[in-house]
Amino acid sequence: MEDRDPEKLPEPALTASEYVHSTPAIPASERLSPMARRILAYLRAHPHARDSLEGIAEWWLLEQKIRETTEDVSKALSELTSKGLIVEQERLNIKVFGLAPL
Amino acid sequence: MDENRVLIADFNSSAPWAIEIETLLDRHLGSGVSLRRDAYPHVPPLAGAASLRKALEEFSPRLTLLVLPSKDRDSLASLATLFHACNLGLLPTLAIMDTDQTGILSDMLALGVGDFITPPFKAAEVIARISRVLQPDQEAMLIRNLKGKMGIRQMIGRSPVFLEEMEKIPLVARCDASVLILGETGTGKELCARAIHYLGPRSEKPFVAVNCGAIPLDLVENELFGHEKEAYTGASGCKRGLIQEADGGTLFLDEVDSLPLAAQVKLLRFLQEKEFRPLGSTRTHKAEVRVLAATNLEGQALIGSGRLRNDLYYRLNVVSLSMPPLRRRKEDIPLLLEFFLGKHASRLGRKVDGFMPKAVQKLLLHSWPGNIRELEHVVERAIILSRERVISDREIILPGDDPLQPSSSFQEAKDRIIEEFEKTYLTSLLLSCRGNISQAAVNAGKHRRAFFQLLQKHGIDAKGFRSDPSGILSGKQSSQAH
Repeated sequence: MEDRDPEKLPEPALTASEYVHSTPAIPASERLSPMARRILAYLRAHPHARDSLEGIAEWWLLEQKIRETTEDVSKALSELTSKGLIVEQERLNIKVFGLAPL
Repeated sequence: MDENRVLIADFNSSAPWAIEIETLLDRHLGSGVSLRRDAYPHVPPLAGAASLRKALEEFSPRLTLLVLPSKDRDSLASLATLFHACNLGLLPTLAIMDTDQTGILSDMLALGVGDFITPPFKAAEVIARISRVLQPDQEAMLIRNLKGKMGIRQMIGRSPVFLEEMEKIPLVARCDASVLILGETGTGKELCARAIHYLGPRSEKPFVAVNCGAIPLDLVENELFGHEKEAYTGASGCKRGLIQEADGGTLFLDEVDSLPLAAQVKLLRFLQEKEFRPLGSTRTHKAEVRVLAATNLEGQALIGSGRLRNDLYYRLNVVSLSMPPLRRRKEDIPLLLEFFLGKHASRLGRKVDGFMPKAVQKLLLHSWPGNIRELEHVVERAIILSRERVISDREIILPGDDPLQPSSSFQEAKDRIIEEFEKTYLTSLLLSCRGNISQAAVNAGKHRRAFFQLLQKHGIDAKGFRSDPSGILSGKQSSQAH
């Protein structure tokens, strides 16, 4: 595997969603497109993955999209909970969210 | 913290499997798991159900391992009875059985068995499968579930015959068994194989697809198993085979019946032993690969044709899926049209929104020997040819004449079909009889004179079949004499 230029990649600590949408301080012409970042994010999470164009388009991007959406939803739920707008309950090891009482 | 409790319900005490599994789990999981092993009578089917129900209530296992006798469908009936009596479908359950019968495993998965393990038991495989159930990663499970629902929706269709097979995919995917996918060309066998890979436990590992029919015969073994340096003239370095490329993941062998018999022997050995030897190598290599295979031939035709070894067939056909041809699911054509229109219109930069009713009718009447792939090409071509925003029947170009024209009356349509049938029948008969009208008439069960009149009616000249035994079917092309 060829060496990667560390200046072109964000910190590994970024979530999938943050990685895709971040704009690190490098020239625009050298930045990866969001789609390219999405593919790379998938490979960072699954370094042994390998497939053709069809598989990447049908499945990698699907999983990446689900992952990003799940993270975004989770962050939004934390934000709403911290502001008291929704409540969180745990039932049978599952967290359930609903509107906070007035 | 809840303890990981595993109940081993032994319905096959004549075999040592339950004890082997208990020993294996105890050795490798140790204090991380609490084990209980109970023996139950197998016959009659409900004899052990009450005891098992009591054990489940007392022990509250997180996972139940059912050790079953097998090799006949009675086991399946017993299992179904047991499942309903003990509400096992609500609990994670793995089956331990020794079977090579197709159909039973699919039915078991449909009953609710999460996975199955067959002897001989390999510690790494058993522990990995059980650990997945005992220590689920909640986030990973959520993503997996969403991926399953949304991924299957990418396979377009709502017809019952199609959905029946699609519903099997998530069940088949998680059990890690070899799968044989049957279906005519262009029915989506590779799509199905990929779905099995990405909805299964190997989704994070490689998916390697190969069309066995496209590899030159003398290169097949090299492609599959690789070679060592200087294995043959021109082999300047080592080359990894496709099996090694797929290590840990899935290898999809399309047109598996195209493999030469020597390669089939090696493939069978690999499936049995998980070992292979690259060309020119003196040592064996190991690889952990799930093999999915596909063929255009149906079961009995596949065995009867001699193209695939029986033992390899049964090793590949642990579970089978059958992709229906498009002509059996014509109600899905409008959905597929919408999908292909969206896919190709934007790619080709054409503003095309839909199809005229006559165009759809024409598409519905076609027999689609090339199935979905053929449909996609027809749509793509129609988009290119279309000058309007809506595709008309003029832009639908189908190979050959379709005997049924949308505007035909019943009698006209019937006459056209009969004409097509007679032409094809007479031509085939003359081919087989090398233009001998008398012989052809006898084979057709007709008087020679009546047969000759039929030939005249359709403008078929029997002489053409005498001079060119390889046949001229359409009369539009001249064939090459050998």
